[in-house]
Amino acid sequence: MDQHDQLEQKCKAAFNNFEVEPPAPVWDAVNRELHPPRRQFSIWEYLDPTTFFSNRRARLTGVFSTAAVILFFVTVYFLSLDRHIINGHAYTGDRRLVSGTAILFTVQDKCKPWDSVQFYRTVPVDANGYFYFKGVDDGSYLLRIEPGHQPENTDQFIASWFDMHGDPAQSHVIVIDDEDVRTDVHLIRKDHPQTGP
Amino acid sequence: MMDSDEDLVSGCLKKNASSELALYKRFSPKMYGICLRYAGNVMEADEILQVGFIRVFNNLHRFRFEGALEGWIKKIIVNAAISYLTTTHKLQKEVELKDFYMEATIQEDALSNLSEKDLLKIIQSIAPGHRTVFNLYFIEGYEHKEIAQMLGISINTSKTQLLRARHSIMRKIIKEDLLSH
Repeated sequence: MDQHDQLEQKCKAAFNNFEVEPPAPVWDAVNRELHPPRRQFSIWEYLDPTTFFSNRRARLTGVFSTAAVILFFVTVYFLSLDRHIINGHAYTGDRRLVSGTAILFTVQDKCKPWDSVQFYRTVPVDANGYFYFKGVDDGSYLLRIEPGHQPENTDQFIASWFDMHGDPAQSHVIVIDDEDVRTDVHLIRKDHPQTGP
Repeated sequence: MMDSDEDLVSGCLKKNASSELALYKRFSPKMYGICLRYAGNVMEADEILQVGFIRVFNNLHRFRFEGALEGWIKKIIVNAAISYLTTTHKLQKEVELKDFYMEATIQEDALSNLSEKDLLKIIQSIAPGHRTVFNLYFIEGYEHKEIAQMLGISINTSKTQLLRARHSIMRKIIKEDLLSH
């Protein structure tokens, strides 16, 4: 056992203050582990679930992007609450108008609408006589339908105001408050007694 | 002026890169010496040191300054070495003591003439299980009971491993001595 004690003493003496400078790559690896380099992710990697759940930055970006999209749609929804649709059909007698233009005017004074009328927007009337104004703000409006240059009997009708007036002073004011409005317009014959300007 | 251990630890806890490097530079040479004793080669030692220091930095918030920082780091490095050897070399769990006897005898000169480098080389060349118990018992100063707990082996296995380690080292020293003459 004496030899073993010598071995023990030799080892203890040899390794008590034994120091060796480690190679530089070891620190590089440790440092990389402590401060991993930030990596730029492509849009496709963000869509990859493994990237999304394993990377904190990707996760945060994903969450913020989703929140931004939701916020966008919520904003659009709330903005659309004050906007409405005015639609309907235009008729020439018993038939539908096959072409023409629907013109919408805003009205400030409901009592004397013609004095405060202002052009707002136009839309075409389709082959089924259908017209459609979307995104219309709350307010009061006058609606005029002008027939196009079409064959058959359209030349017998004149531009008319909702709901069936040749004179704008007599036309019906459309009030939009919180609901969409459906307005059918019957064009007036040229020989009709209401025919006006 | 050299920063105190407290300053270094506090800097590392604030993720200060220069404190981390300073702490590594202060303790890594000694810890690398330990890694070399437990490892079979330089590459293994590098890996043990790397894993060990990552554990040191990740657990630094647990250090309470109740003992020396060096001792705390050393313990982590030794544990990292044991984990590494356990997973990569599957240390022998049970070794019987029977039919084992010492047959080698060496000259005193052979031992005293042995350099640190040669001794390290010999220790690295023995079986990983023997090497681990040898290091823990002879150099770190652990008891067989503690070694048995650390390595998950029986006390008898620890004793046997140590005897075999001694025996292997003796034989290699004799061989080295004979070759040098």
